[in-house]
Amino acid sequence: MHRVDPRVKIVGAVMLTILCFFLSNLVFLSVLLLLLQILVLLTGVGWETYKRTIWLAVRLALIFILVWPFFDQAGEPLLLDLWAYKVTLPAFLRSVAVALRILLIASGWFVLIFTTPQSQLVRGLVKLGLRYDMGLSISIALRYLPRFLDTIEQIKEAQRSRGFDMDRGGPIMKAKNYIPILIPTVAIAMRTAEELSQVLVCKGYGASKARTYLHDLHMGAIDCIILVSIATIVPFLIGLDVLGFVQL
Amino acid sequence: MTAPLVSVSGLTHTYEDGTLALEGISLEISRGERIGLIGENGSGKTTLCKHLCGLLIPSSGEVLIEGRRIKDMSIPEIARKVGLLFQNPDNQLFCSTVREEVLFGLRNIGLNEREAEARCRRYVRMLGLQEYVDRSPLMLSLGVRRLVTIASVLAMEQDIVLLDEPTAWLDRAQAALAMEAIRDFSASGRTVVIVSHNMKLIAELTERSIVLSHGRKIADGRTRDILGDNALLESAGLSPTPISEFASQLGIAGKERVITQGDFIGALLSIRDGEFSRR
Repeated sequence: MHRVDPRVKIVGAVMLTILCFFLSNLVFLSVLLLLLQILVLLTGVGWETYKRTIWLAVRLALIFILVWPFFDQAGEPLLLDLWAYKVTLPAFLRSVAVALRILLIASGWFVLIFTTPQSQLVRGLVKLGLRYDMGLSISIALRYLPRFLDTIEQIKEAQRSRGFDMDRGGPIMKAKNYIPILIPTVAIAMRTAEELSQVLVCKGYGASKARTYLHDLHMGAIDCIILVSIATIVPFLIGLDVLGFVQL
Repeated sequence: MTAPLVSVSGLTHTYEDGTLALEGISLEISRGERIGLIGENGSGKTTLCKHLCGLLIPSSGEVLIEGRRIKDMSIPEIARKVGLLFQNPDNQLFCSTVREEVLFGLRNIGLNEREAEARCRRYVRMLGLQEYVDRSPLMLSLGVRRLVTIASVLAMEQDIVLLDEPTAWLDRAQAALAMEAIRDFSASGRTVVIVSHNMKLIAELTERSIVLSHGRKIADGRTRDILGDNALLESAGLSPTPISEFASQLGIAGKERVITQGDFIGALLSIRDGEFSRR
C-alpha cells in the first residue's frame, strides 16, 4: 500500500466515503469493513497505532448507536421502551449501519494517511487539481492531529495533578469536564498555526508562483489497474443502488 | 526514625510502544529535602515524576506516599500531597484569568474560599504577578506564563512538589523570582524535586541529586559530590556547572568540590590564605 500512487489512494478514500452514503445493507457493510481491515493489516502500520486511531471512530460509532433511538423510533418490534427512549429493531439496525459506515470511512482514511508521507499527500492533492497552499494546509492539519491529541492528554494530566478529576460525575458532567481542555487546546492550535506560518515564510514559501518538486509522481501499471477498478466498480455499485437493482 | 515521605521500590515502566522508560528504580525521599533529578533527554526523569504524581501505572514496582500505595489513593488525595510543574506552561493554563488559574487547584483540594484567596494573593505577590492578576494567562508572554504556572503549583502547598525545568523561558529577573519562591517554599519544610538540565540551578538549589541514565538510577548522593564527579557526569551525558569546569581547568580546588560561584570564591580565598595550593 505504501508504494501505491497517492492519487490512487486519495481517490479511493474519497470514493469509499461517497459509497458509504449509499450503503445500508448490513451484510455488505460488514464484508466491506472486513476487507478493509485486511487491507489495514497489509499496510504493516501496526496494531497499536491503528488501535489508538480507530478507537476515536469506535467511540463515535457507539455514541451514534446509543443516541439514535431518540431520533428514530419507527418500525417494529419494540426492543426497549424507556419513556422517551424507544429502541425498535429496524431503527437499531439502521443505527448499526451508520456505525459501520463511520468505521469504514475511518479505516479508509487511516490507510491513506498512514501509508502516505506528507509530501506525497500534498503532491497527490496538487496533481489532482487542488491549489498547492490548500493541499499543504490539509496535510499539515492531518499531521498535527496526533500532536493535538497528545497535547490534550498532557492537559488532562496537568489537570489531574492539580486535583481535577475529569472522570467524576455522570455522562453530562464528564462532557462538561472536557470544556476546560478546549480553551488551552484552541489557544495552542492558534499559536502553533501562527508560528508555523512564520516558519513557512522564513523558508521562502510563496516566494515564487512556480514551485519545483524534488520528487514527482508517476503512475505505474498497478496504480492504473487499481484506479480503473475503483473508478469503475464504485460508480457501478452506486448506479445499481440508485436504479433499484440492488440494495447496498 | 520517621517514615519517608515518598518510597519507590523496583519501579519499572514500559510505554505502549515498547520503550523501557524506567527500570528497577528504588529510592526514598524525606520531608524537607531539596533534590535535583538529572539526566540526559530520554533518561526517564519526566516518567519518574509522573509516577510520583500517580499519573502513570507502573509496569512493575510501586510508589508509596507516606506509606500508602499511590494506586490506592484518589486523585484529590494525591493532589493534596504531590504537585507537578510540567515543562510546557501552555499545557497547564486553563482559566480565564491569572487569579482563577492560581485558585483552580486550591478549589479542587477543598480549600475554603477565604484561605484560597489569601494563598493566591501571597503567591501572586511572590512571583511578581500582581499586574497580571485579572488578565488571561494565555495572552501573556512566555516567561510570565511560566511564572503563573509556578505560582499555581506552589500555591497548593503540597508536601512534595516536582518542578520540571522551573526556570526555562525565564529572563534573569524572572528566574531570580522563581528561585527565591522555590527557596521560600522549601524553607517551610516542604520537599522540592527539581528536574533540570541547568546544572547551575541544581547546584544552587539542591542538596541531594539523583542521576538517571537510560531509565536506571546510576547515582544518588550529595549534589556537591555528584556535580563534582566529572566522570559520572560524562557517563550520564551531562556537563558540569560552568564554574566547576572553569575551576577544574585552572586546577583550583577547595575543601569541597567547586560547583558554585561561592565555592570558587571560597577556593580562591583559601589559596590566597595558603590553606590549599593549586593542584
